[in-house]
Amino acid sequence: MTSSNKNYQLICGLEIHAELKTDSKMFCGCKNDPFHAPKPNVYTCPVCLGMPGALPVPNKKAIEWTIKLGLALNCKINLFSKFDRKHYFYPDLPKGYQISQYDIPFCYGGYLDTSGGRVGITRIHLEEDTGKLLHKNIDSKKVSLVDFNRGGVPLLELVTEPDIKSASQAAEVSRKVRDIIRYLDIGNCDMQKGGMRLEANLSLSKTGDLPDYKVELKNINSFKYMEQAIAYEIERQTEVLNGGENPTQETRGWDVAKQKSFSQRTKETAEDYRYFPDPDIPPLQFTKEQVEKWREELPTLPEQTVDYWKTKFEIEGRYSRLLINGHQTTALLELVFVAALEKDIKPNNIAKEIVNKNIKLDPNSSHEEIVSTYQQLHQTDDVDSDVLVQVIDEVLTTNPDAVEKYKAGKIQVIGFLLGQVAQKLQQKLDMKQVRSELLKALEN
Amino acid sequence: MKQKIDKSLVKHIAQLANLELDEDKIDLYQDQLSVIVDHFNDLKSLSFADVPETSRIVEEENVWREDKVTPSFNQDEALSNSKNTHQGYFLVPYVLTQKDE
Amino acid sequence: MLLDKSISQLARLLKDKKNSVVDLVTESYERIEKLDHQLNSFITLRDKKEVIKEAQQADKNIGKATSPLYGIPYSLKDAYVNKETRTTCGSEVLDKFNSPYEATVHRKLKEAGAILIGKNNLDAWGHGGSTENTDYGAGKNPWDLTRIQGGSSGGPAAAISSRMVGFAIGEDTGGSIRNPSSMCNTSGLKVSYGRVSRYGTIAYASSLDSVGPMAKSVEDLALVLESMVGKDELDATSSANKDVKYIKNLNKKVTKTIGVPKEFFGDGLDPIVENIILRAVKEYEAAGYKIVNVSIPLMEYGVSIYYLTGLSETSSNMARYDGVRYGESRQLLSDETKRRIMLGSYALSAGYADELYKKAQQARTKLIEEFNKAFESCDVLLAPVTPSIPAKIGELINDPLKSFLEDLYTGPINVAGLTSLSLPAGFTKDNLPVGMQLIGQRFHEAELLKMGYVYQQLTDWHTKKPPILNQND
Repeated sequence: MTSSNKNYQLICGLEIHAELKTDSKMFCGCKNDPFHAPKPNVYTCPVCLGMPGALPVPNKKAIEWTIKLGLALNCKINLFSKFDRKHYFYPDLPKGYQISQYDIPFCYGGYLDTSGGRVGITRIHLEEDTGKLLHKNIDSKKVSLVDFNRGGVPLLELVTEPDIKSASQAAEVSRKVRDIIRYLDIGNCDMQKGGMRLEANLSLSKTGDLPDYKVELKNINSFKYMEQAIAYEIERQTEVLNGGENPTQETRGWDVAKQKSFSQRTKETAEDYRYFPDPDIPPLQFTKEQVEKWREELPTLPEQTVDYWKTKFEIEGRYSRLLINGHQTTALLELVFVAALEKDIKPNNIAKEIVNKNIKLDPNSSHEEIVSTYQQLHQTDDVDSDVLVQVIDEVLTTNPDAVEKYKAGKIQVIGFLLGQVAQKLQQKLDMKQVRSELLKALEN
Repeated sequence: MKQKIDKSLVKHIAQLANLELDEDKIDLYQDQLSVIVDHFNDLKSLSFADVPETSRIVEEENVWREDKVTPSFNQDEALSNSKNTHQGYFLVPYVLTQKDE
Repeated sequence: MLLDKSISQLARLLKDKKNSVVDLVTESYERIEKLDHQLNSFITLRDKKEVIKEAQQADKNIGKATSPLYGIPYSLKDAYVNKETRTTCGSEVLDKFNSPYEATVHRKLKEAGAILIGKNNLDAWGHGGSTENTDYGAGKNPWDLTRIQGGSSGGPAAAISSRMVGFAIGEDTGGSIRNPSSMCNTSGLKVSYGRVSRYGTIAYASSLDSVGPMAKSVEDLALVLESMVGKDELDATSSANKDVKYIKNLNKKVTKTIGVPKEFFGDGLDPIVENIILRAVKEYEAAGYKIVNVSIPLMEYGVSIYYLTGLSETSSNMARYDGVRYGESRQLLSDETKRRIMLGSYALSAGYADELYKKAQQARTKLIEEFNKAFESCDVLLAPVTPSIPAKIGELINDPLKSFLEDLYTGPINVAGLTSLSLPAGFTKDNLPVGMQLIGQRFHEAELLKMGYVYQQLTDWHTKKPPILNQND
């Protein structure tokens, strides 16, 4: 995937929404589990239905988790913060306004490191999710149906700086954000269930400065499609620019079947949200001590663990990154590796077996059980050294040309000879032992 | 009165507020709104550099609730005041335009 | 007339079994049936049979009664949701709205044993000062049926004035309890913001709305208030302030200084009203209270600051009425309400928010400072409630600016979150009531009520009854 097409650089930022997995909703005590609700509109109350006279009371845990995510992403935390009302009319927005955050988000000014460099995180704020709309034909009339089970669920909004320089980097950022949210155990980020939503804002620039247009990509529900859509947009916008015009400032979607982006609507005038601070919710004031305490409560983050495991256990990064996906299992694995070292087993070998699914990583098993599973897998039978020497002798005798090749310097032939020995013995062998015996015999 | 609010602005505000105005009332609204806004513009003569805004009267901060589930309405209660429902959902005319967020 | 007695007198009669709750409820319905078609103080009445049954049950358990409100008939301004009746908020839009939940204040009064009779007329959504912006018939003043009840809690004030109920719950955002109390010769308390839970109160302006008692006397107000106050976990703005004992020390002597704020006595004030207020000042002075002059300069912009705040917030609070989950189409809202929503949207809109809404919030900070400064040299302020005597019906509803200016002395009190007590202070020569307000610092209700109690020992304006009660069948 090329990031720049001839003269143009991609200038791209992401907007990610993620539902938090609190037990209850953001501003009321209704159950937060819209996807598994048995029926529509059963997790509702005066508050999340926007009934006359109802009032919001914020969910403390949702606030704490938002700040923790910010800390995990190197953000600064606003010690004073508030909720604001964002006004627009839509049937899935019961109050006619969404309680969100406008100019003083909980977190700001953070960053994420990627294989393509550092991507700034402009802000992370907390808001409430809307209800869900379904479109249907009833009596041959098109209608929309509204379910408020999802209305009021706590929703994080994370906005990156326009630092993203390639389609693949956009996908990487999205995955990393998802991984951290899951790692902290604050959200499931299941895109199929609407637990995570992606939007990209992109344009192309010759100079690297922010151009005077941008295209918004919306309603794309997988990392892969996002990557495809951005790649397509780079081509499309390049063509338009090469033709001497600016691409239209608009919102576009991704047609998976046609593998093309398409216009959804033109952004002529920005919506006037008439933000003002929500008078129903007293402001939030945190102390530096409180924020530090939350920082201390963070588990060691994935990248830090990758480095640590490399240094301490010599585990390859490609295995670590696949294994680190939840701080409970990470803690368990560390115990496994420590125990492995004590038993003179290379932790990297255990890691490899788990990655290759030869050993199941069951969070309920103990580290001793896992180590012993590994040992069973790699149990080697005791081979009588006399028998071994004899078999090796037989193999060397039956394969004189291989021996010649070895003597001529073609040491790869060892592999073949080892295989022959193993075949004859039909046992689980300690290959190190066999190899050293074989080499001894060849030297003679 | 200094200046009347433009009719197009009156219509724009009505749209922002999701209100339909009868054509024959627009003149009246224009007059009445203009008179009132003119009065509010007396604030223009005041200057408050660096004065913070007070948007709420509360002494408390950090008023929040623990993350506990409390009883919800059952479906009938939730739908009880709507004239248009369908199999447990609220029914609305098909929403054509994409939500702008 | 039982319902002319004070709440504590009624409580005594009930306890001594000289009268029954059924007696009280029966009288309530009789009076309503006789007079309310002339007054329009009720929008909805509970079914009489049902309420009598409730009263009979209450009589059975009178021995267990602990609250002085036990068995007392009361009404709610139709801006409070309850399950026993519909809640219209004075508007066609909620004509058929039956709330599946109830307001905290109603729940507390029920728990105390008070008996709900019905829901009172109001300016819809709180939008008005005359109870004319209602889809249920303009409210008429019991003292003169050609004149307004005041508003927006006109219905409760008229109901108390004409002795239909023992007390009522109104709501004050910019004068809506004090204004009709003044015009109907009743006592009404605008509590400090946050003193009483707003959960279940149909919101007009979220940072200004206050839930308050309305009754015949300060003593009654104190009794009702004690049952209403307290932090509510369902209302994040309800205060944890514990200064909530009102009745016990109500008649203890207080030595307080009264401030007379000069901006409340400016050009807009009708001389008839002014004379009555100044007489009240003299009455306090004669009783030994020190009087000082104070000034609150930003009062000159008071109407703008109040309305820019209130209208912005109401444009927001009214956004939920889209007819999807409840109610009729929002296009059925009245012109007055539409106008207010548009003004509020305008004040918050891009390009105008800075010079309107934001400016008003900055001015608000300064106004609060000015009130605090005034309270350094006095304990309470004494001022008129409205600049005019009760207008003729029809005078205000078609003149929006004139209607807004009626809130001149009351609106800014809400902006500062202060508490204020409206008390009967006299009559014009045409026998129209004129009230005064005693304004206190935040959470100083106890002090305010004591001062009001003193006044109601010195005078008897509050005991006068409207001529409509002298009508023969």
